[in-house]
Amino acid sequence: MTMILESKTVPSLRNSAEAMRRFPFPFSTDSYGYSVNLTPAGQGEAGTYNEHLFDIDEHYRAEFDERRRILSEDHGRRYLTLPHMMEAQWDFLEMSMTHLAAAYPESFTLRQEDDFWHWENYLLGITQDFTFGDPSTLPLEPLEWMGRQMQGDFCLLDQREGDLYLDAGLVTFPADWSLTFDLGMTFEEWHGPVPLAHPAGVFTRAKKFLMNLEIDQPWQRLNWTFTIGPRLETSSETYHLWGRDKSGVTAENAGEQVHLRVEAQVLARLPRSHGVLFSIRTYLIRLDELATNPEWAQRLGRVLESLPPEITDYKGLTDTREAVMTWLKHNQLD
Amino acid sequence: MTSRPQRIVRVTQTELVTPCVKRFTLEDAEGRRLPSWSSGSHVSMTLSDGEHIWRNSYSLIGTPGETRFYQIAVRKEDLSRTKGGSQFLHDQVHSGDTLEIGAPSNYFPLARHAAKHVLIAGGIGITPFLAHLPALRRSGASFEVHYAFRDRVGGAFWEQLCGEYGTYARFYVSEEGSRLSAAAVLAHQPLGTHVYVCGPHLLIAAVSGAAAEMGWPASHVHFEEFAPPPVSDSAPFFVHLPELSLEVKVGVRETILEALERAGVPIASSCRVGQCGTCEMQVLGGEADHRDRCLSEGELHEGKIITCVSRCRGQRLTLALPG
Ligand code: FES
Repeated sequence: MTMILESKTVPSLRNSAEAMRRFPFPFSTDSYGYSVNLTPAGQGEAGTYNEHLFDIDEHYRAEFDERRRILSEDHGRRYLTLPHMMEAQWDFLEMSMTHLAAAYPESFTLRQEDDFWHWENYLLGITQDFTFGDPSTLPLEPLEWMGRQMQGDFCLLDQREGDLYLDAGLVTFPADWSLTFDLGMTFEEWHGPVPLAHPAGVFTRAKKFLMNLEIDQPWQRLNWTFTIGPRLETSSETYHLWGRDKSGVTAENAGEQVHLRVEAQVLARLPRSHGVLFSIRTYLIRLDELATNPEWAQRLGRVLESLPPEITDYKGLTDTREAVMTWLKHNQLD
Repeated sequence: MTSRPQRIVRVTQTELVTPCVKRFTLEDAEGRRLPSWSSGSHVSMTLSDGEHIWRNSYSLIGTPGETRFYQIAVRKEDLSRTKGGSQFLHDQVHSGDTLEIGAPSNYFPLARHAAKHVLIAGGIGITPFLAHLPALRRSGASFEVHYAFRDRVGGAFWEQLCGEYGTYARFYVSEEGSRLSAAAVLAHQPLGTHVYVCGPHLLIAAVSGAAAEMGWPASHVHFEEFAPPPVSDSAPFFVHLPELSLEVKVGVRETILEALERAGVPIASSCRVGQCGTCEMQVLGGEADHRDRCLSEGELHEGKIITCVSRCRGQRLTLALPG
């Protein structure tokens, strides 16, 4: 029997007032409508989650520790990469280092002299000299080494023969999927089965969009679901651990149990390898934290009311939806 | 899609490679690093002599990933088409001048999984291969290059290629009676070989025809034209944009995209040879004459049109602005 990782809650993920203020609330209207909803990434207003391409916030250390725990127990299924993805890995390292150093100079420093690079991460106390393009000069492969110093999960897609393949990833916080199952899949395989409510052709268009991504023009979109407890690790492999919590949610405890889970997904062209970076930065907010903003609470209630049953099912919300709606009705602050 | 961000570069070197081909070295005007890029990429350039504006695309040549400078090789065209941009670059752009370019895009990448790569170039179509070749050598892949040109004086870069890739390169000089036969090049290639062609329309047609006949899967045949398909057989027509209450004449020597740009209606574009789909618009009326290579059957059916190459059968085409 293989050892199964534990899906643990991370109590330190409670949000400060500032984290709540900048939470990426995903609904801009009162009703649910499927749309791809793309906006330029890293170009949002100052102080918002989308100000920078890679967002660093107060949960940096908690996420770093949680990822380290998961990787120490289950490395083989959380970090996977095919051999032809090494160039894309260096792309990822270059993109993340240059953006982080420019966005957070107090936390990261990058110096480049031809291929001799010097990196400092003051948050974790890391100092590293290395040769760009030579993996033997880094403690880990570029994707894993740099990915561990960031928040969120990272997938690298290879673009070839008119398709996109999920060929490398560091995925420790998936929302009910698994890198092990999906590695090597094409875009369609990875996104299927498509629920009925999605308009025909939406994935063909999305794929075309991705294949035409331009260098230096990254895009982002928000995706959402509910998670029970402050849990980042909700992979398919551990469903039996976190899935059972859903049945324990009632209209009474929903406020402390249910979290709105929002993924800010970034899509960017990797310039050297002509691959695509798909990064998933997860934000959690407890329902009672969310309800301190009456506008958000009201809007969430209305969106849940308008949610078509196929989507409720697809997102795995069938158990939770009613309880959340009732809790919101009882706790509406005027 | 929004219009592409532009960047100002300075010409730091120009060099006549042949009497008709000039190499330009470009650096960021503010001394920053340029974006990284992969082999097969092109940059679009916005050129203006104060009176005309041209938007041309040129392949990046040299070692992929070079970010201190970019290099392009430009062939001076005769004035038969609206290729005045190349003419302008040759005659009026000098070291020290600045130019406006977009970020690199790639619609002609290498297929990383190919068992072997066969590159076939005609004339100035050699340019994307000047980046593919170092990339292939660096990756240790198996490859060969076939390069056809008219005469030894006019054939750009052949001596350099001969020196660097000797046994992997074959040259065909038509004035000396040596002709490239697509069928001969494609015969006896190992299973899983990919072929890449860049050059004039006829060469591309010959290679894709031979490949199809010999049963090569279409996914193993890649091509890029260095100029849009010839428009000599075309007649002028009008494009009507009801949203702007505007009617624009599209001349014989220009594309819909160029005519709209001239009229002050900028449409996002990238490859400008009918390959990427960026310049797509919706046909509301009239019959389109499709000449692109990117729309699917379904999209043709929906009335999409690729404005950088396609034209009109008849007098007038009514188009909607991109959403
Ligand atoms: S600009 Fe690429 S198809 Fe027209």
